[in-house]
Amino acid sequence: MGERATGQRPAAPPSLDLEIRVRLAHARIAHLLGRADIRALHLKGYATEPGVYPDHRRSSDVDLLVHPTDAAAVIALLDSHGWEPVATFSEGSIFQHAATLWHDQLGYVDVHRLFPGLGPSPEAAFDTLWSEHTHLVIAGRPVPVPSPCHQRLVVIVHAARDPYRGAHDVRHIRESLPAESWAALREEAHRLDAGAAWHVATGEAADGVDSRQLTLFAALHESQSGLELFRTRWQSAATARERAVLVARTIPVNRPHLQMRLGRPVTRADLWREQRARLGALAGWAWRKAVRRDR
Amino acid sequence: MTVETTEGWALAPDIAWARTAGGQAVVMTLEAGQPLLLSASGDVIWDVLVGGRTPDDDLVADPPTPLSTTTITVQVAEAFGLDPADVAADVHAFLEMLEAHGVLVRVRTA
Repeated sequence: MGERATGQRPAAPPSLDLEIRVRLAHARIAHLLGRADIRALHLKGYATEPGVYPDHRRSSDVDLLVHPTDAAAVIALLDSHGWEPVATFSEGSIFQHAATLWHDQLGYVDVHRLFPGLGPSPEAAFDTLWSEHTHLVIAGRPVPVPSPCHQRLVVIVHAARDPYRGAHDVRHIRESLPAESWAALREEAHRLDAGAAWHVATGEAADGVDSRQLTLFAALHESQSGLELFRTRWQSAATARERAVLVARTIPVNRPHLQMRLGRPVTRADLWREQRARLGALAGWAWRKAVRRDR
Repeated sequence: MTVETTEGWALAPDIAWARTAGGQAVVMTLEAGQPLLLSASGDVIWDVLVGGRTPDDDLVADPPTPLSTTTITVQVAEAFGLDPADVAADVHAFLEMLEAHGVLVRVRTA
């Protein structure tokens, strides 16, 4: 898709409770996508059955998982109904898995074209979750969500990237499920190729899990960032092409992330400073790597 | 034999609604996506319109039965402990306001 993002959000937040806005957003998005015959699963937060999270857990946005081939259409449809692109896929996380949009009344939605750590491929992961999906009533409307088992699995896989709230969520699921249900969940994690994320999130044995994936999720779980994370991703890349893509994606400055870090709109001077710092760090890393190789 | 019909009200087919932590109803048409926060007295009328349903009840699978203006007025008056004649004008104005926002549609009830 042609990516367009503003990186901006309204200065004045709407006066309605965040929970109300998110619940209404779930209902409206389900309606709009359903009418357009686009399959989309609502993940996490209020799109889970009671008991998946600890009581009183709050959610701040809508998370959608769509088939990768539908991602552009979903964003175009939401854009035409008041959701303004804030961050494109390439401006999102290191996985480039989600684009973020903002609606003046209904708040944020993250459109995921893949769910990191889940499935042998984004297409297979979506198809598997969709094949067993169910509906949850939110704001009086039926909203498509994964099966109860997959809802919990998604929370656990996500926890591998979110060590703070995630650890609490994983502990809650583990303690609230009977042993046989937990075992079934583990089995499902392996069936969906989510062993690395499962291991990192739960601390359970990692037999037969892809070691590169394991290294990457462990780094994210430790909240590595910057050059440290780049180094881990370099080591986790399986091919020269993956490494080339990694470098190409690392060099451009992520404007939305920089804005969030600075807490104000990004200026040209900010971009210049950030770009220079990135190139300097990468050049230093490459130099040290080359020197070590020569020794 | 003649069958008397009267003005009635039904929820529009494409609406969503929720309740704030303080119990206020927020309604929205799915097309417009503009939430309306109802007043305390509007909440009472809304409760009558949805027939005791909560936002966890599916409006698509089980929509509330359309109600006549008279029925709504009588139930609202009962909730406030007033005479129907005392609330009729306000109730009607509120129903028309919701109609103007696309939340209610006017129907004829037998």
